[in-house]
Amino acid sequence: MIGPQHSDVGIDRPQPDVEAALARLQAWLETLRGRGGYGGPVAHWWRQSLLYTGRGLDWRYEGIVDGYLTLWERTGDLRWLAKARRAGDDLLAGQMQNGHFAASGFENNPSSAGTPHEAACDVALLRLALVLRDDAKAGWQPYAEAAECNIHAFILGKLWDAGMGAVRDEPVGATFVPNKACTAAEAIFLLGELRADAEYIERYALPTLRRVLSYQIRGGIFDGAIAQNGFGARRVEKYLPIYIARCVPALLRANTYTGEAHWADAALRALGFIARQMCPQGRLPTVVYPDGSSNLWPAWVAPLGDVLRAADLLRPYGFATDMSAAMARLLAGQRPSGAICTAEGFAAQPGGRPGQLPDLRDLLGVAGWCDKAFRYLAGRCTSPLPAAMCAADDAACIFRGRGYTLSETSERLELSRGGRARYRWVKGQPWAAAAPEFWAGG
Amino acid sequence: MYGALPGYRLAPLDYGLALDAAAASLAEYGPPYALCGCRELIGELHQRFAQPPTLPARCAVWVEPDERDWLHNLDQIGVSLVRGGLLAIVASRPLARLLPERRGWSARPIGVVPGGILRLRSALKAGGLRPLIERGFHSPAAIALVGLSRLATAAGQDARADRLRAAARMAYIVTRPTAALTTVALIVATKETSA
Repeated sequence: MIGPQHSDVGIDRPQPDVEAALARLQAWLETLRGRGGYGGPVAHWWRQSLLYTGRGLDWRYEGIVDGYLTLWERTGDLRWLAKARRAGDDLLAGQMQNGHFAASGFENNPSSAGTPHEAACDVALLRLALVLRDDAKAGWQPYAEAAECNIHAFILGKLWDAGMGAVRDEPVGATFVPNKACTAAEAIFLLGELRADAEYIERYALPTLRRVLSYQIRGGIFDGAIAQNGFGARRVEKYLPIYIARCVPALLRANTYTGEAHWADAALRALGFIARQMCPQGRLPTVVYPDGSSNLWPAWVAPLGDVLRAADLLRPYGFATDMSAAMARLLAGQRPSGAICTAEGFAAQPGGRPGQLPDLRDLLGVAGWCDKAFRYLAGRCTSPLPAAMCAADDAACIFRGRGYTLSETSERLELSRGGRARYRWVKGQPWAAAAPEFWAGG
Repeated sequence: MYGALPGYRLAPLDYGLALDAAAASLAEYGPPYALCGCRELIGELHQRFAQPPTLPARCAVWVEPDERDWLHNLDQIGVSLVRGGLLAIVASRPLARLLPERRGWSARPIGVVPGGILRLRSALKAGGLRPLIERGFHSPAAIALVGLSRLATAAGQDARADRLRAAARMAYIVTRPTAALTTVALIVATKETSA
């Protein structure tokens, strides 16, 4: 049986500057806080959201809440617990009567009903509620109730497809996205645990995860890969490593719950596939195609946090690949501001190779990517964090073929060209002032 | 509330991106005086401009001027806007009639009438509002690139299909004269200090 064999998570040895990096990242995250939560622009594979910069109640809360809870658990410092609760309060205040969280669309913001974003918010709320309850702390119930409301109204009320036997991606149609379904399954597992109600797990989470398994390749060079999505019976055979990594935690929950080895085996194969794609510098392709080709660009940096976390979760199950190059890449991506940059090579996404200067989207610190680095690094923290602050950051970059100077401080993010500001986000404001070249959703 | 509209009820992307651009144009001018001539776009407007303005406003946003009352509304905006203030107009163009999601909408936009945007632009100038920026959303190039992407997908060339999609997004917004062949227009005008 595959199961936790040992507790050695030290294969990727903690690097001496983890706490310093974490402290700087935490200080930068604080600068993103505006009315009601964490804001900022978004760079993504499918679309950018450079203009809407207001709070986003999306998957950023998963890593922020979990990261702060982990910091509290590891250091005993109540400041971190207070920040986890504050983030939970953001979600409570931003939940609407229909159960949705406002501005949960991430790259599609402003909009609600984002997937997997609302499920990730539920995971954050339920983790917070469980930790508070188990520590006999008061006030956990509202967090649990908010997550329960969203799960019932949206995930089970609109996305559960009885015919498919799984949580789909949209209220209508038959779109299935394994990594998103896994986030929903995690939320359902947590709700089942909190309410001591196995029916949630048996009726919704496990069937959804069985469908995820049907999307996993067995054997051959793609062994372990999980197809990105599907429409009805048609699977879209594209393999996106960072999203495959996001399937691992839910698969391991299924293993723990059922004691069935095939769940852990699936998780190990998934991460094995990812590890085989990784180059010696710790870089992963963004997409691998079934003909063996791939798109290397943008090569993610901050999102590697989810891959590294999945590796840590799988160490007790025997995952032994050295991931230290990926960790070094993550830490090397930290900007003077404290943000971890999003990627490398965004400019080459439509083709070609990246130029000498980074793309704006490469350098951008994005709350919904940095939360993944934050959560991972918090899990590696072994001592109290040193004092840190968001330092001024100036860098040359390109966007749509033109050169800019990017300047970030704790108060603003600005792009200028020829001495004139072309893009300015005053932190805390819901919209960036932007010249037309930044309007495209590209 | 910002971001209240569920993703499964959003208007076509053409309108969403044009409204985002309008919001970015007005970002440093405070909450806008807002007018909307299309019931189906009110939710999109409200989830971007959540705060009420103080009048006279430093900026205004006008979504889908309607052929029945657009001249009256233009006068109203002229009165409500301070000198030097900005007006952002999001208006359908004739090709918006081809958007399947738009069928059944109740509005009668001036912009979809042939020459309607031209009349709007002329009326702005006559009313002391000088257009500063004009862009079209959902360009012919983007449509062509998405079409090629679909062909590449059908041919099993997924990598090429994804790259074409990325290129399409970068080509989505265009300037005049190509803007005339897009589905949605954004015009940003300033109220002249001496009308």
